[in-house]
Amino acid sequence: MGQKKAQNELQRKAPERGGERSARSRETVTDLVDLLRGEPRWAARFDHWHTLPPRAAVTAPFPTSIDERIVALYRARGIVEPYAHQARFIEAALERKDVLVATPTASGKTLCYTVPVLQSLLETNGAARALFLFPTKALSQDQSAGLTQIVEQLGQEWHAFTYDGDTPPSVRRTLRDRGHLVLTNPWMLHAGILPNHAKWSELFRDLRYIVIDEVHTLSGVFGSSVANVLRRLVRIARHYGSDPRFLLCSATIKDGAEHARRLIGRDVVVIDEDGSPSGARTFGVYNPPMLNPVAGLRANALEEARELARAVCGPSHQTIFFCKRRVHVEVLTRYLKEGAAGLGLKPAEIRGYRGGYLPLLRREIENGLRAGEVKVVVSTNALELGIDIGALDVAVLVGYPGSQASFWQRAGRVGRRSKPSLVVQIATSDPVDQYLARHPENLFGASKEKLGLDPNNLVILSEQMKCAAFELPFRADARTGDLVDASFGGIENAPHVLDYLAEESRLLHKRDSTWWWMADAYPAADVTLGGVDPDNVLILDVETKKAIAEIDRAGSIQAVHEGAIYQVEGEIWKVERFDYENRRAYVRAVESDYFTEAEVDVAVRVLRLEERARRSRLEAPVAHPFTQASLDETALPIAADPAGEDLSVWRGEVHVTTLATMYKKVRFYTRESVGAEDIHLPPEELDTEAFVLTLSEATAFDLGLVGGDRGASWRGVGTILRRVAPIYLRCQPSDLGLSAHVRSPHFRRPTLILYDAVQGGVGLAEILFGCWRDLCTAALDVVAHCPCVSGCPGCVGPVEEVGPLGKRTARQVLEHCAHGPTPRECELAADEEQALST
Amino acid sequence: MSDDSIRDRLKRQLARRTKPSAESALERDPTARRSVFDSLGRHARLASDEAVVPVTASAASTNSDDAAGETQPIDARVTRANYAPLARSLGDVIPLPVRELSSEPPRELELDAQGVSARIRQFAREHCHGSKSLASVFDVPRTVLAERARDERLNQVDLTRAVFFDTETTGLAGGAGTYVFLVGLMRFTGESFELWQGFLPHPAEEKNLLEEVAARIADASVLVSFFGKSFDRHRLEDKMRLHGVTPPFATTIHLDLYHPLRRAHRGRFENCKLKTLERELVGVVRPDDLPGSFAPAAWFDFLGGRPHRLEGVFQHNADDVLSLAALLCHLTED
Repeated sequence: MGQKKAQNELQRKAPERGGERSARSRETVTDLVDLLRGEPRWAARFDHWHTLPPRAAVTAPFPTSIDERIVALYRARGIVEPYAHQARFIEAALERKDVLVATPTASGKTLCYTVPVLQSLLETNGAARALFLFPTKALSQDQSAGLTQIVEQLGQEWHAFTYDGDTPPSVRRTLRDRGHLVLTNPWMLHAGILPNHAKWSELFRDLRYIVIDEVHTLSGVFGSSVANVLRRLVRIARHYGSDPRFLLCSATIKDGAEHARRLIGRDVVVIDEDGSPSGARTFGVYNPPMLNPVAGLRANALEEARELARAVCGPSHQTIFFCKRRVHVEVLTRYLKEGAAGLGLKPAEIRGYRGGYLPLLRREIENGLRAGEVKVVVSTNALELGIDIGALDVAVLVGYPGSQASFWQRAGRVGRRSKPSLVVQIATSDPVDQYLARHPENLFGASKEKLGLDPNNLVILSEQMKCAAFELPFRADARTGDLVDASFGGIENAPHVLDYLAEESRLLHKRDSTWWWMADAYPAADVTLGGVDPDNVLILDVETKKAIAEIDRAGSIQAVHEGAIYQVEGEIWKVERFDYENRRAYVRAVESDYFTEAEVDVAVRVLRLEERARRSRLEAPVAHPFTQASLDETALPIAADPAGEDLSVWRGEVHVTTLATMYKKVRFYTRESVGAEDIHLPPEELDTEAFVLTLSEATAFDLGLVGGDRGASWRGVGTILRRVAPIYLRCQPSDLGLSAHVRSPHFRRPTLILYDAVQGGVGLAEILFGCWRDLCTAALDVVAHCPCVSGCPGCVGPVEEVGPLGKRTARQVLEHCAHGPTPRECELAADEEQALST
Repeated sequence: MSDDSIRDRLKRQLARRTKPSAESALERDPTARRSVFDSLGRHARLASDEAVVPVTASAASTNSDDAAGETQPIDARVTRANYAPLARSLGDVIPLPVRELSSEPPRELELDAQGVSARIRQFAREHCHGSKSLASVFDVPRTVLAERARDERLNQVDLTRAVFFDTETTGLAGGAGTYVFLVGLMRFTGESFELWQGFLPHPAEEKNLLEEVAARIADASVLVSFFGKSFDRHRLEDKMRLHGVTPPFATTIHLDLYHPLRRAHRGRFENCKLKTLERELVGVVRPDDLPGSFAPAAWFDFLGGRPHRLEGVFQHNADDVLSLAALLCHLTED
């Protein structure tokens, strides 16, 4: 239905609605901002406002060597001169440099890389090739349409194809032979293209450019794996005689040059001054009202979002809500649809959006957003990345997204050229959110986050070199034994890895300084990129037997156990049967007034310790040691040796067993619990790396951590440390698992284990081992400033969990850990390990 | 980090993540038999031109991170979930007769001027394989052949210049790391049928072997194979392109007997494997055959300096090629 017709219909209907829609139909964003800042009810809830003035465009002419046909093409699209950053990018690309543009969303990064690619096609008369990597299939399909259009407008017989799981076989062959522009994603490159590189010889022979979009998403274990996939790509290109350049696009990040250098192994030209124009931008930090100061309970952020919607949603502009969890998306979408009339909207104009929805549905919603028909969309971070949905007007972030980069990506979704926009960040009672509400400079100031990237991580390197060896043999210099290789040469451990693969794994055969692949296996099929199990669970409608969604295996035990309520765009399904073995969950559409939340039990076993730092009680006596007077226990566990150990931190390997035990049924709206049931599913097993903090028994005693109620506060320390971790690690709290024992079976003393929640570990434990003291300081800040009396979800956990003295004890512990001299690295004594492991 | 500690660390960490390595099939289970064609039938997609079913991105962690990855269409993955990786699929288990183990290089290998190793055997025109003599190939009525094979060009083909071919490779999945280590090509020299079995004594010699194979195939009036259009051709083409050798297949007529034979005899026998068809249609029985699935292991063992069964592989390959001639004759009978 055309937009005009829809509008006519709306105007006709307005009187029947009591004028709500017409009353709201002339609202502008400026009106909304005035309302929120002016009306006392709203103004009281905003802790902080931040404004960015409107910005005029800064343009520069296309470089003179750009073909006139390209200039004419863009002029016809209304672009006479590109923005300054675009022009600079194109210039650097033409000089055959590797380039990175790090500017906000919607600053025109597509043009940056499209022009040099088109130029190369025109110069070589269609012989040149380019490869485009996008982090999601949706993005690559989105961009493909745009590229194909432009190429057709140039009037040439050139082709842009997406190569991914959806590409039909007949198209694949054409693409390989005649695809000038190949759009794909890292997984397809890793498992489909590179191992079959002979089939792609045309592409590799003439490869001029490798374009990678959203490179800031390439971090952690995934990024490190992709860095190695790129190494494989470069060495294969060299084999066929080409020397492609990298054209990289990223959101604004700190240290772009360093990140790019680690990703592609070369220096890049960084362009980060945004020349695109923008209207006035207003940011508000919204803190839900305190309901119970004693317990430190704030109103629920999701409910606040629902309230806020009455003010910020309307038929004359578009609003996007970002939620942290899929369940929240479903719940909020349902709330808003039910209250649509009050917002002056029809329920169909309000959509939910998340991964797990089938691609067709997602395309439908994206089109609706672009066309302006969808007025409100509630999404997870699925809409954070650059899929073109047009520019919206208001963004509401329900809960801090976990990183500054994510924050700015989401904020970048709003702001039409020269029109004002509004971003509201709602703080949840999560400690990080509250910390940021108090210290907003961490949001709006320069980025503090590190994008962790370690391409030479031994495990990742071995897995990837395995794949590389399948693709082309590795050669070493006969004299020195150093690898002679375009990409892997110069990596210190590389020859050792190859020898390991030859001698232990028996996958390679070495002869005369060359390692040949020597197995009937296909390594790329077994090597995952993300450290994430590709074993997805399909969710099938029991009536039609058709799949309605999917979920990863680790999440499945909590989301689709038998009896679970599973939601898709507000529609409710109940899981009747979960075939765990075959990764299928069968659901039936139901009416339900409650949703479900699962609980898990976690058991951690220490396998091996690798590093340790400790300090003695002499260096760090406990200030105000706890006295025995109020205790019933009569004997100290051990004699308080003044020169004994105070505390230790460790880094090592652990085995984690997670068991979903039961689930609660929670009523919508009122959130009251209406029952609980057991879950019967096998445990998930995980081998990973961990950071461990132990206190000596003497110190623990001095700090008041002596079993019974007080022991619970120890767990509270772990909880708060885990929750402030995102400030220093680029992760979510859920990326870290916690195990807390006052009397650990392994160490026999108070122990906190923070482990990497991903199979094999992604290096978080190592970062923790380096910055744990900063973490303690930040945790202390949160606890000290939390207005609750004895503990709340916003700091160490509710008083029911940590006990009446829990908060005070936890604070003492944190003070002791954060202050005093830094523990020194020491040897892991053999006898100590012996003693510990009994 | 010292060498030993790297090795230790790799051992520990990789043991958590990787599947068992490819040991010699015989070491794993001497009595197990995995028929290559079992797997080929079921995993035709695997062995086809497309060769690889890519691993897809999964929807990322539980609750929050949606943006990280999209996946293949659901139905494709439901299909994929139904097939087990080749290494884990076991066909019938048949006790293996005692087979000759050798520690020597394969016998009767000649080295030609280009450095290509090959075993060459001559078969007389009257030589019988099963119920067919090799020379019967010349009596095949070409119009019937063209009709049954659905290729008009066969009407005019010169069968005296036909080349019968079959390969042994180190894997079914294709890709750059799969080697074609034995190529059996048989043609009529004017006097006898010459079976040329080109052998790859080491991966470093690959380019030479491929050039020779390309030349011999380019010379052919028609290429005759079993399942070659879906498999052998692509393995050879891949490796040729990798080494910059021009593949000859585009310009050569290729008669893949699998398709017309399957059309003609579908449902008549327990399956359409070469072994079954040669036994039922032309009476070829191979009592001491080394199954094709053991070929990769034989070559790996040979390269690794371990006792190997390459002789059995050569024999198996030769029998396969001879059966092609016999089945070609049968194809045009009623």
